[in-house]
Amino acid sequence: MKVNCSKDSLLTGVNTVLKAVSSKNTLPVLQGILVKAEDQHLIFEATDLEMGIRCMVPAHIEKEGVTVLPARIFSDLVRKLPEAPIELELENDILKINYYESNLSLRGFDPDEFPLLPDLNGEETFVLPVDIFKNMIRQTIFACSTEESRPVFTGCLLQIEESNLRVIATDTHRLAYRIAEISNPENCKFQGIIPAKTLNEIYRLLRDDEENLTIRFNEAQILFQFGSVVLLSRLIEGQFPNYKQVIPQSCQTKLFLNTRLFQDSVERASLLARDGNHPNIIKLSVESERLSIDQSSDLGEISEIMNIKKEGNDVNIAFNSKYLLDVLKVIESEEVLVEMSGSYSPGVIRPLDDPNYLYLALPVRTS
Amino acid sequence: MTRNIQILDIQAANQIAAGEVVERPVSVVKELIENSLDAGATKIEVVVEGSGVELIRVQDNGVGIPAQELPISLQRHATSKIRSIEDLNTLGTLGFRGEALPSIASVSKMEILTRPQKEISGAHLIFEGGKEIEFLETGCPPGTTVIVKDLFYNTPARRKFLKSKNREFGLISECIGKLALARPDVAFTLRHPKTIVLQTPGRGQLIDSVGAVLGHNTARRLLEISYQKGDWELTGFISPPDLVRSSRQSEYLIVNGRIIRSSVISRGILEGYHTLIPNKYYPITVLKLKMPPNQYDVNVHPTKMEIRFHEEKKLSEFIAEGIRQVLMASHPITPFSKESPHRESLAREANFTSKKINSQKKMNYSKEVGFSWGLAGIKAQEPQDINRTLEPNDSLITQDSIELPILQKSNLVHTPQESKLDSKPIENGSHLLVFEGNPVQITPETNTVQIPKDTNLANRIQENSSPEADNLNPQEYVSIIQEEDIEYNPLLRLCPIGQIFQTYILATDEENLVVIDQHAAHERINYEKLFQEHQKKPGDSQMLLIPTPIELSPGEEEALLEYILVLNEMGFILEHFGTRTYLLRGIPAYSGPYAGETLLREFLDHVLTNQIPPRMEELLEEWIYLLACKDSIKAKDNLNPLEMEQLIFQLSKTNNPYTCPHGRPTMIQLSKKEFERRFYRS
Repeated sequence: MKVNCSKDSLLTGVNTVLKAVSSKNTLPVLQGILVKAEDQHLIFEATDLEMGIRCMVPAHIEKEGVTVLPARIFSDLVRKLPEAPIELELENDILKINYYESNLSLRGFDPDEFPLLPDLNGEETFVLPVDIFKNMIRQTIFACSTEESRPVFTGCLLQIEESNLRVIATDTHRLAYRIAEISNPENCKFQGIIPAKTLNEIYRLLRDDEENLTIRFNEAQILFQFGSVVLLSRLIEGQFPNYKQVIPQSCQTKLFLNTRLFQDSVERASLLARDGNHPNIIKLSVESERLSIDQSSDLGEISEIMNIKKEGNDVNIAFNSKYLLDVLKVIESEEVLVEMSGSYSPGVIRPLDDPNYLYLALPVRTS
Repeated sequence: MTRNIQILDIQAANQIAAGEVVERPVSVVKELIENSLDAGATKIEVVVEGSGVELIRVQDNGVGIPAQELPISLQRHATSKIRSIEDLNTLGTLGFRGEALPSIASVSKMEILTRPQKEISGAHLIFEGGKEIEFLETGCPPGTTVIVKDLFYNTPARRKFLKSKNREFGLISECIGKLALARPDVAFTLRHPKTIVLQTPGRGQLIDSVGAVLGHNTARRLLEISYQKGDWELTGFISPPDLVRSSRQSEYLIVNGRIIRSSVISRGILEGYHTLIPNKYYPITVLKLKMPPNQYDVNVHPTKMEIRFHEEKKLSEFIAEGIRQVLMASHPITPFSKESPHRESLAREANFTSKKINSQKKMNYSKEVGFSWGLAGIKAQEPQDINRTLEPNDSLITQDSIELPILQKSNLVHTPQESKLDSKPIENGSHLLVFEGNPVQITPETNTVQIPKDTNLANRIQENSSPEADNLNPQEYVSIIQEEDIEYNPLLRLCPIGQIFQTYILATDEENLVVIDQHAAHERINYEKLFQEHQKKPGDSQMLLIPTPIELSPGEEEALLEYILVLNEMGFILEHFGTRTYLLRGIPAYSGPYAGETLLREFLDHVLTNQIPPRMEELLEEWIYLLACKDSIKAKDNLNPLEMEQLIFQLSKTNNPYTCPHGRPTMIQLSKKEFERRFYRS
């Protein structure tokens, strides 16, 4: 292998795939990044067997070749390289990096041991607009559970059905639901739970100037392709709960709130929780046109009053403030609609001008 | 072939009963000694040959059996101890079933020599395999002697399952030890066959028996316990927290003179020692419990080893309270030099030997320590001064306290409720220590620490409360100055000298040098604070959108149903879903890092093992430990004198200042005497 390229291309390649490198693994080769020179491109690949990323950057290839380099040291080296033309040369598993008159060499792993990333060619294919998908991830992913005991909740459900694309996430305490209309001329159907880690990576790697994202999938895996990046991920096995059942169809109280003012009030009201060790529980009471948000702890008390527009009954209810703040942060609409039915039923929050998003939080039953 | 139903002959019935009662030689010894005790013996001598199979002889000076009753005594269900089943409620004897003698007789060659105190001659009865061989009049000392030979000679299967001679004899000596502990008023002797293995004087002093059974060195270190509540009375001896064993072997429980095992009491004991001793270690305890016989049931176990109490939870709490009180009153500071063998590792950590001190010989005291800070001449001021210092407008104090930044820091550290101890430097460079509202003058005389011997602040305070000090609001006065704190809390006399290795605080009360592990001490303070906070947390419940189905075993289900209200108060919302399946619809809001299901299962496990529902903070304890550790200052954190003083003060306010939550000591001490001994100054 003999390659000439810029520091930037190297850095792009390494940074793109770095998150897929396993931090600890019994297979040493998985702690490496595969670097392949082929057809005027440098190809970078990394995988922890749950998720794999491949990235292609342009380079001048004099001689093709392939090696696997220890990820941490290689990425540190690349980051520290000067802004100069860089030459990579592979001889007997040792990669020489030449810049100016300096050079360094790095011993690699055997590339034959590196697992192949299947392309899922021939599987069903679907094309999505990037901006919509990115926003869908942002508005749902925070509701995923971090608890490994029940894996189905650690990912988002992705559903393609006729002209509807849905992303749903829940940790059993709250649920975020986003639907988008897409064109689906071939009437492709898909349903699978994608690990939150994968979606986070996609969100990070998706550039706003990209237009489309191609999805290919089979029973167990899903592949995302955008720009020069290919990301392959395992799907989470198991049955996602029937989300349609838990979304209330009616309500007894409707509040119309200014999103930012509501968010600010909740934030202030949650300042008084003594420590980060416990959920921060705030009480909401609605009396005619007044909403009061209260919290008290050893440190003091706060009572935030908002004048609001209300339809229906008065209500007293308590929430973990995190569950409210998480959603208020991702809603861009100026006003939100909060729907409730008594103290013990889920509270539903929707952006007033966007029927495609819905969030549901379960209250805390206070004694 | 059909089998006819027949009544078993007496010998067969007795042998079957023997299977229950006479399991091994030690059972024979136990039954016979219990008979002797029930016969009012004050002297019991046991001779054992080999494993006890060869020969067991139990001789007592009890009331004896009249000759005419002797043959009946060997019939089943013949007893002089009860007349009807109602007598069990007022049972004062150890035995009552009338099974022991016939059972033993059926599996051995047995001789009974007995003479009631008033008779001139005794009777001699020889039995073999349950059949009378000979019955004659004979001369013998008053009392009863039972000789059991060739045990299990006619049940070879039983014989095969016996353990080694040493093991069987070990069991016998342990059993006699227990009985001796139960009855210090009876003189026990155990011979094997010529040497005396165990002997108690029978003077009625429990400590004598404890010494004989557990060894005199151990006995000397034990703490006496005496605790009473209602008609329950707990007496006995318990070990200090630094004297522990790795098994429950040394846990002796005696209820109304009967040696028993009880998981309820064991739990109470561990609760009493909770956080004082490390996990998986057990204290040595000899506990005698007196309670009305109608509050428990002995008739639940063939050898009566286990009894059932009516008020289990209350009893376990009672035991824990009693133990806690004694332990706390004993101020269990780990001594400097005594290494308890079974806790070597801990001791090694905590111990710092003279050799180590020598290796630090280059240490320039004031440099290494970072400062030298003395507390000299704590002088109680005149009553007028008290009033003056308590005067809020006193310019001297308020001004100075604002000027010095170090002070502000200290003011930040203590919250109003805690700040009973306030150190405020005043102009002449000396410290004014406001000690529980009583100002004390401290001058920094470098390298010397002098607290006058008579620094009994409580006394001085009392002196001060003379009529002249009347204008001090008496109620406020009482609330600020708690006599006991000073009288009984030796920690309040501790005054920090400095910090070494940036890890340990040296402090003295003039009689001892105390070394405090700053991390362990702070951990204890934080642990108790967090624990109390958790006790106050309401049982709020985070409801679940998608309920978690939970499948239970029959036992778990029963536990769940029994304590469903308790669970509900904790914040679990459960719904019956199907056969032994429940839906978890809500989980405690303040459940730390644990999943609701995990907590619920832990709760049920706890109920199944301890018969008592745990409290939420108990379920979260491991996590609270972790939080307490995280919030605490670490080794290598530099502390200034005020911080050290605060740490000691806050530590003194904890329920158990002497160990960290994991049971490691927070402090070790070296007495003045120990110094004198090591420097050969005596």
